[in-house]
Amino acid sequence: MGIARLLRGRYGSEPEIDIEMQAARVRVTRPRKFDFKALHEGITRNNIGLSSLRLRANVMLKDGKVTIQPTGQSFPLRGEAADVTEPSFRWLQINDWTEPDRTSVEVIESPLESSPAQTLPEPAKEPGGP
Amino acid sequence: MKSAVTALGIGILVVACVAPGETIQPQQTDFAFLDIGLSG
Repeated sequence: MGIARLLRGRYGSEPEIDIEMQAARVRVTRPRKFDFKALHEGITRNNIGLSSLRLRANVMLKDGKVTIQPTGQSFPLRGEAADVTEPSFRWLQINDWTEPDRTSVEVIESPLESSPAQTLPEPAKEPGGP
Repeated sequence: MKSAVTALGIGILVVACVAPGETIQPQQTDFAFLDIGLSG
């Protein structure tokens, strides 16, 4: 129950943990600054690794910097993305979360809509076929 | 051994936290939403 308790305590809502997808999801109901290193440490204390970290938040992008609204917490932008001068929700891939001085973010497509579970399996090949 | 313990831990968490077919989604009223990839 450690990870569920960790996420509930940090983010204030009931998390979802999906064994098949090896994923956890949680709504962050109230504004707060993120400490991704502490989140990583909390998860690994449960003998589980953290393989990816994606955040949907209301952000502004300008001058190579992504600023989360309304907390003002900001991260360097990795990769290309057009400026966003009015707060707008975006999905972000968090990079280098174990090193806060190096943590950067990348603007990505929604991971919930590109889930591998929605991809059909390839058809089986005929025995003796080409 | 560590992998087995990890798998068991995740399995228990799933039973405890997720109803069948349930998927939480971001809400417009939320501050943010986190999607976390886990590994054994």
